[in-house]
Amino acid sequence: MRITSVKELDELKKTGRESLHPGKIRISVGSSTCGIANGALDVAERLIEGAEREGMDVVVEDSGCFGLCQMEPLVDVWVPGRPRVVYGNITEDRVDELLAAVKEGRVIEDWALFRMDGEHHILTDERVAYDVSQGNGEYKDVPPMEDVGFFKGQLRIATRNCGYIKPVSLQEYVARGGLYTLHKVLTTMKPEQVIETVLASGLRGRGGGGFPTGRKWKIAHEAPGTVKHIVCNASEGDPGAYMDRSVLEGDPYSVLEGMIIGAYAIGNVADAYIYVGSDYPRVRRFLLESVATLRSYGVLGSDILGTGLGFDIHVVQGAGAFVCGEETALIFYIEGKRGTPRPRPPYPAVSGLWGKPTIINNVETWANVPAILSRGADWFSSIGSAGSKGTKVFSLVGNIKNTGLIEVPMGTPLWDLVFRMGGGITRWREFKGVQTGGPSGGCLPAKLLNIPVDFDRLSEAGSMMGSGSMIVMDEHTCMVDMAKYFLSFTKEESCGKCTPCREGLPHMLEILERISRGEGEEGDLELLEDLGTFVKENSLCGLGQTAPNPLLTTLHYYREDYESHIKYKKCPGSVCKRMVSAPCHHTCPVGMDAPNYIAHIALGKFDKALEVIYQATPFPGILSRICPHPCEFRCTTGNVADPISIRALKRFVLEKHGRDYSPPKGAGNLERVAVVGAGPAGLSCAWDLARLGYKVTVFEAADTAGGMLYSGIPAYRLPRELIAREVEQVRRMGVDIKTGVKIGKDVPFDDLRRDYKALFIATGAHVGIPLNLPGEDAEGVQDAIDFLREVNVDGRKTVGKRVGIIGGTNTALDAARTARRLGAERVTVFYNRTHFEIPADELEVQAGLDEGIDVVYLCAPAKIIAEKGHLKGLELRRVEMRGVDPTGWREPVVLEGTEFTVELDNLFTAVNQKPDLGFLPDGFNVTAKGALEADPGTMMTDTPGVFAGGDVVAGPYFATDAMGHGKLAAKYMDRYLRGGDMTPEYTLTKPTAHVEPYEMTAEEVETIVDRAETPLQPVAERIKNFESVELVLREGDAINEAKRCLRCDWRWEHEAEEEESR
Amino acid sequence: MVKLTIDGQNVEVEEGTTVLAAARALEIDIPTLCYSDFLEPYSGCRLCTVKVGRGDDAKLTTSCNLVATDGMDVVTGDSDVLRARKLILELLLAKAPSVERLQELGAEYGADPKRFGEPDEEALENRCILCGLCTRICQERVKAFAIAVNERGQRSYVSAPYDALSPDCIACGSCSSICPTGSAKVYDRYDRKVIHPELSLASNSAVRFVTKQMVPNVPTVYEDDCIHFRQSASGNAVDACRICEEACGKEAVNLDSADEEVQLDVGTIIVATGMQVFDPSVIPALGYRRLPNVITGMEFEFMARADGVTGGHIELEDGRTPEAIAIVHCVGSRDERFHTYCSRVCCMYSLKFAHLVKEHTDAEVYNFYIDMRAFGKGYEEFYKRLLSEGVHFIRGKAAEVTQVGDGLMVIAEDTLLGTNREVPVDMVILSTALEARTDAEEIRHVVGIGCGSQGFFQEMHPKLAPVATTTDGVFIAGACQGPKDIPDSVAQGAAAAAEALSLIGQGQVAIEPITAVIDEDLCSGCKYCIQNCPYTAISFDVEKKVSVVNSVLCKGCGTCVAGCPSGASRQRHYSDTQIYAELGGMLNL
Repeated sequence: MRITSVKELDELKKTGRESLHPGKIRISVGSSTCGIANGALDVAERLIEGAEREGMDVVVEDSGCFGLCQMEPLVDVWVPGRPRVVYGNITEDRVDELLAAVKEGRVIEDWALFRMDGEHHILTDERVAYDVSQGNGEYKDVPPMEDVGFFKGQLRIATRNCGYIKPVSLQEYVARGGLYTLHKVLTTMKPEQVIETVLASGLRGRGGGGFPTGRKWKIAHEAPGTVKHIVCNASEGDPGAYMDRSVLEGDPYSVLEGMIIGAYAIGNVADAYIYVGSDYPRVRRFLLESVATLRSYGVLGSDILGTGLGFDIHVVQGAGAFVCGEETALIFYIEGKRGTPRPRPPYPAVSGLWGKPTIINNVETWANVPAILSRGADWFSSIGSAGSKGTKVFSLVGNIKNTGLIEVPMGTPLWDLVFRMGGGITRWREFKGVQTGGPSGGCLPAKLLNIPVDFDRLSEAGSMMGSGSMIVMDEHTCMVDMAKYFLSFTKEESCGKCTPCREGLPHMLEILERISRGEGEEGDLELLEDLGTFVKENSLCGLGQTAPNPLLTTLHYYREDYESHIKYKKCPGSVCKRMVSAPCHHTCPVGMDAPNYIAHIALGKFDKALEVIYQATPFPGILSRICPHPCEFRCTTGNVADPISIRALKRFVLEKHGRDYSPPKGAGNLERVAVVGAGPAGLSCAWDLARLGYKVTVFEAADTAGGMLYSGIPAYRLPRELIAREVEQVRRMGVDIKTGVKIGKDVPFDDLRRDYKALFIATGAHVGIPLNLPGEDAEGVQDAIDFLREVNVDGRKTVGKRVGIIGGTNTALDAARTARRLGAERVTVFYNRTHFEIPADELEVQAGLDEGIDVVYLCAPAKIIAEKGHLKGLELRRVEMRGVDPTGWREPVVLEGTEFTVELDNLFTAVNQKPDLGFLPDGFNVTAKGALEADPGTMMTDTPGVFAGGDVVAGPYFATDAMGHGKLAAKYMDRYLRGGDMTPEYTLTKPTAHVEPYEMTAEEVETIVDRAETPLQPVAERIKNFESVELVLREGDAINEAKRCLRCDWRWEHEAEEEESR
Repeated sequence: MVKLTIDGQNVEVEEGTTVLAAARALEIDIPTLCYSDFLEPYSGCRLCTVKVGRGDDAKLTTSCNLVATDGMDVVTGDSDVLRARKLILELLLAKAPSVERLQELGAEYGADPKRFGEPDEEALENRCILCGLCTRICQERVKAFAIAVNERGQRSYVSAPYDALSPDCIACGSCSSICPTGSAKVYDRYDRKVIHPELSLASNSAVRFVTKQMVPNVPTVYEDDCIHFRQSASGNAVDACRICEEACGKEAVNLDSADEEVQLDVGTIIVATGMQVFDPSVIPALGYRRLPNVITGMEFEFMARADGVTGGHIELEDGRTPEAIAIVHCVGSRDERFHTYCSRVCCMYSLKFAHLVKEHTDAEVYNFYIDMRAFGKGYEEFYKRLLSEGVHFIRGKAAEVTQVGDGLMVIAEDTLLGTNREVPVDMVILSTALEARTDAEEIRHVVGIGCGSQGFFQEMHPKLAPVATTTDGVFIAGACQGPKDIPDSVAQGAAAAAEALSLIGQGQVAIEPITAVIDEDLCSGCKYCIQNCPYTAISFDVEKKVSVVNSVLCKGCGTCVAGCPSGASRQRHYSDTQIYAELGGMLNL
């Protein structure tokens, strides 16, 4: 059948609608490459078999991709009279159950992702409502497509048919409005009008460059010549970009229709070509089939649609070189030559394929063309931002919950893409950056999350739209490593024609590799910048001109990552193998070689494990309870599953097999040294110094040693007797701890200077910072840290019935949970941002919620309501998150007129604390935040011989960091006292010992999968007492958990061996 | 015309001119590595980078491909440009630190050759900077497509496809000649370098002066060596190369000019086709083409020429200066196996060679001769002078040349001493005979003259008519008549010219009154007469199937008359009857 008029199109449309809605159950299986990779073909086969077996009258078809690649295989079930339901993760073993449900007219809510009650045809703006007359209440729990976070805010123009139709079915394509536009254009519009429309629409090339499509067409249209060509560039070589593939696999006709319209507009087109890499065999097959179909319907070949227009489309198979995506290289490739770029001008629109004027557009650009001509330029230009019109398809990949394809209007904030559609980062980690535009683009940090994503804004930020890949990275990403990865890609893909790209990139990579091995030198970054800008400015084609972007943007936005590698030999993302050993070891503030003891636990050698633990710290028990375990956030196992429960393993081995431990002491009474403050920093320092043989005296103002461990942390998290036991261990090392002695009051500071050769100040940060709210001095209003001290130290036993806490820190949660245990009935935490931002440990928040504490997000206190000096309540206002502030935090904006009041008996503020430095004489430098200044490399203050560490230096931080400070200070105090060099030195993290890995049996590999979560005391019990909430792992669980460790330190050793043998 | 500014100078150039060309016209130096006037701009090395535009819009771009447009503002040497060039040179120096051109440019632009570390061994040996000139000339000009850049990125290297011996390579040497660093070289399949400018006895160029003395002194395109003709003759490519046409500013080269047949009406013809030199490779014992450093006199001439490939130095194939040279006389002449005659010139040119060797080197020279024929004016004195210069003369024909170690050994009988001599030398020069051209037979037939037994053209009379031939109006001059030296050839040429002029001066020619005529009725068409006629005066009329005599050419010698079996050929004024009557009258019968 040849199509020559609207009548025949209508007929085709009718058959298409019948095929889409066959009057019986239609099941479509998402069979794009993403689906197939997840077993979609087997699922489809199983569905057909199953339906036959069950005697069901079912049509099973394949379809394109809705974009939710994470949930593939997607199965789209369409029962006449009911809403259309899309199920996710339908693997082969779920097919039978699904079929049974379909047969019974049930819906499996747990598997259903969303439902559709109708569909919207973009081309015609037609809304087709499905017959849902029989759709009963069972569908109410399945959210409509528009309400699913992933789809909310999407507008699918280029991907308008993907997932809805069978990809190579022309009928179904026409049923959704296809080909009508082509007919309209060919019969009623002049080529100039078509070009005008595309110009007016503001469509810009989606391949990355963003050149106005209409302008390109106009140049080619006006170029002299009786032979012209058009090309569709379907080369997609970016790591992480697959939108073109998805469009061609889901809806090839939209691209072909766009090309025919383009050919008509440009005029004199003899041939059109589609370049597809050989890595897309399915795309190639679909294209060949679709082109043949169009020919048979008279939509291609001679006399297209009976209008006399004649040309053909050829599918050219590429070899997959990345550079062939560059248009001049692509032209050479089609001509049969080596695919290397040539200088422009002349631009292909003037002299392209075989020297003829040639239009090259990207798949997505072509797919947009029919929509623009169907709905008009005004409609299209009403979507998007000022300089970038329409929508853009992005592939969201990387460390993100929902990987997949989304199409959003230009100008959508980056935050929406990452957090709304992408669902954010896994719970273990924080967002670090997003690489836009693949290896040609740049890496944008959190502070740029609010930029609207369009051509111009991305360029301004130093990145680019590129093909539209968005690689989201969490904090376990090293920017040096990232730049290294992309550079090694572009280096490999460089064609080698021009000097800067060919020679410059490998040298840049070499320098980066050196930096990541910990051999970076001063001047490397300047050299990198110099080379990078040089390559960018001087390369011949787009590949070289953009290849330094990942490096240059990360150097710009994450310079501290690079500096940290070079200067401190630390990889902030714990990725660079040669300097990290294992990430857990690398990140540990006290330098605990975790993989070492985990390995011993896995082998059942608990004594050895204990030895390793005690090597690092005198407070393993305390750490095993309250350490914020940065190690677990970086754990390599966490890349593929949940991280190892490192802290819980430590606690297991200490509590089940622990014993008192005193390491050997160093030689004799070297000198007298004083430590001020018996908190974690001070005691750590004292212990290390005592081990070295110094005679150490610790002065503590409180009556009990322990500092903030004792006063700030509730007993249900850290038992008092545990603190006492480990402090006792410090005493056993020969440290003299004098409690109840306040420096500056009981002992003058100058006496200390006189009597001791060196001092370590670790007095912590115990002074709460007020909120500066009216009424803050009312009775019942208190700083949370004071409240905790009263409970923990002074034995306070009472609190009001209604307790409010302002702030989202761990201290806030501690105060809330303590109040709950003291009998408060209604405890509410008020936090001004959302659960994304709350600084408290997620598990702490969850535990609080379990215990019946309310957490109210997005509210800010306005004033404290007091009556006669007594607290009555708190007035708050609602807050909305808008944009991102310069530090990368989303900015809370207080909404006027949204005041609401809560009645309270007690209000605790937990915003921040600062040190009390009143005891110090003048002459010490203090930071703007009120902390004492000390060299972070040696912990020495500006006054020689006086060292400082812990919260007094860092502001309120974690106990583990404080202990790290103490250890570091001890090392340099020793060096100071021996008259050594005080230049800080930094070393690479290397395994401290060699432990054979445990080899899992095949059965264990299958069964030991999940993280062993620490058992908790039942909620009903625990809110009545201050007993430990977290319990100890069972031995079997602990050993299994240790076996899960991937032993990434082993790879370090292995590589070291390899390097030596080389 | 397009007006633009380069470094503040206004310049007007033709439309389509590149910025590089415009700058060079202003004598502004822009360095290039990958640019050639005869290839498409490549923009690969990026060294010709300039800055276009001012202020924020200024952009670095390569000038070799940039077509000048109106109002363009170009800066060729500000700090940005110099910084870019310096970095390019630093990168290239890291890749190929031994390349002299890079070292020079590097010094000029202050590039630090060790900015990217100490070069490793591989880099030190590498000379290729991937400028692509060799592959492009092979593809764009030679159209052989024999070599290309393989692999990509930094691993790129130039080679034939699959690194195999390329069947497409025509060993033209374009690649090695265009290579700016000496990286591209052509080897044969036995790893022998084919193009070796250090020692080659013939010019490599297809466009060349055979000798500097040739008249008119213009170069010639040799089709056998020319890429254009070779490629089209082999059917590989049409319109290959043509670089000479483009390079010639005067449009003097036209490769499309073809052979054509020209018909000229002339009254006289002077044949001066010369001789050829005997090919000594047919005497295996002498080792020519078999042993190194055995060369002919002609090849020695090429070598000793001041404008020759060695610049006049006498060198062995490996570039050494020889310490002993043998000159073997009478190679092919005075030899029963080849030519029995004396070639006349060999003794004297051998003496000249000996003199040249002595002049240029300290080598010992051994002449192996049968006897010394110094026949001309001053020749004997030259011989005497050489004797006093210490040249060795060994009377005896060289029997064999063998290889001994690196050198050669000449074996000969010394007829004066009556012993065999074995003389070690480094080089053997064969004084080859002069012989008739192999195509002399063809020419003989065209102009209708005779040949002697040695193949040289036969003069009418060795003493009385040395330049005339038996055919009226055809004269011979020079060595086509027999071996002779230059003075003799010149004299003969002058004589032939005088003879021809004398004919032209007469304005008309007298023909013989007595000629043969063939009676058509009696002629049986046996063609005996045609074979017999020494003047090619008889031809065959195909239609009538009878022989016909051209009375202008016929000298009335009567050979045909005597030979005609059917008595059809008769002598005018000398019929049998007349002869018998004359005889009768004389004898009073």
